[in-house]
Amino acid sequence: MTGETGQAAPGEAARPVPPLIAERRVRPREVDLFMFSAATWLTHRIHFDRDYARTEGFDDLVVHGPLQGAYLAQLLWEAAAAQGGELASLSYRHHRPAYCAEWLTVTATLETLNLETLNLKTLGSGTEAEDSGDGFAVEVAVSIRNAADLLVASGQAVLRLPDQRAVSGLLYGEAGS
Amino acid sequence: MTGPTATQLVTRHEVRHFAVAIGAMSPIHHDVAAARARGYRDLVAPAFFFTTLSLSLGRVRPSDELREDGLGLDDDLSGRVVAGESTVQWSGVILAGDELTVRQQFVGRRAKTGRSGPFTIFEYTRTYTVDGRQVVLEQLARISR
Repeated sequence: MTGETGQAAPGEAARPVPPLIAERRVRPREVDLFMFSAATWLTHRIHFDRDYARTEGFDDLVVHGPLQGAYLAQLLWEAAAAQGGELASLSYRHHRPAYCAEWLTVTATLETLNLETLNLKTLGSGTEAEDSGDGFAVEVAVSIRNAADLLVASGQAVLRLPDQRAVSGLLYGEAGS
Repeated sequence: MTGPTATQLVTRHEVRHFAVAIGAMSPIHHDVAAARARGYRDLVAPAFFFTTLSLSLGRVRPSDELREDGLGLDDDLSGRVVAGESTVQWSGVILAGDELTVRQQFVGRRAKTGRSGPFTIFEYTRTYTVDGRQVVLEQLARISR
């Protein structure tokens, strides 16, 4: 679930890569879309009536926007909870429809903008983890990509973690204290 | 300006349904004893559980009050409707047994033109409270083409 990926940008000296915080692959099929529509009492036909969805110009049944939000939130919540932390906020937007039975990769990484300050030795003074008085706020980039590696949804989130050890655990996959 | 509001009792049944629907299999969403062992009074709803109340705004309509596309006859949006940008802030957890209240405010609408033609963005703010304490703030957009 966790590890390190990525490369230094062209022209840049090698830097610590942004750790992948968490990743999950999902493949919502008809029955999964049904369960989400039922659990939320969402009667919109583009999520359960394939013939109808095509009349609106979609290629297939559409994976609900809030189901994608729930996948993102759950990935983040579980990553934070494993370190004794919590999910503070999530913001995301959709780029293209996700369709029934597509494999989707749901990913959380450290914000790219904070790459330069990524250095565990400076945690506590670096900008990617600011001590807000009651713990550390870690900014995270999130995305959902389809099997063709096209962006389906993307956004940002903030995780609140109790201490530096939890931040380290989140970034490098160590067990929480 | 006051928008629609709804209050519903959060049941264990609903928490389990929602958790399974999104693949949240931690025992704190399913097993009361496990939730209590972690210090919670009852089952913990997954972070996005609030959406069970928001999408229908708590209304359970019979099919003759729905349009051809399955949305409510009184929905603000027409045409092809999809989800837009969404921002959620959490300040508490929702537990089974809570009375959850949602209040929606209509923020405004904006007409735009994209690659696939004109569309309109409808923006809303929804606050979710339990016993008067805010647990979730949701800002969301819906798009109609």
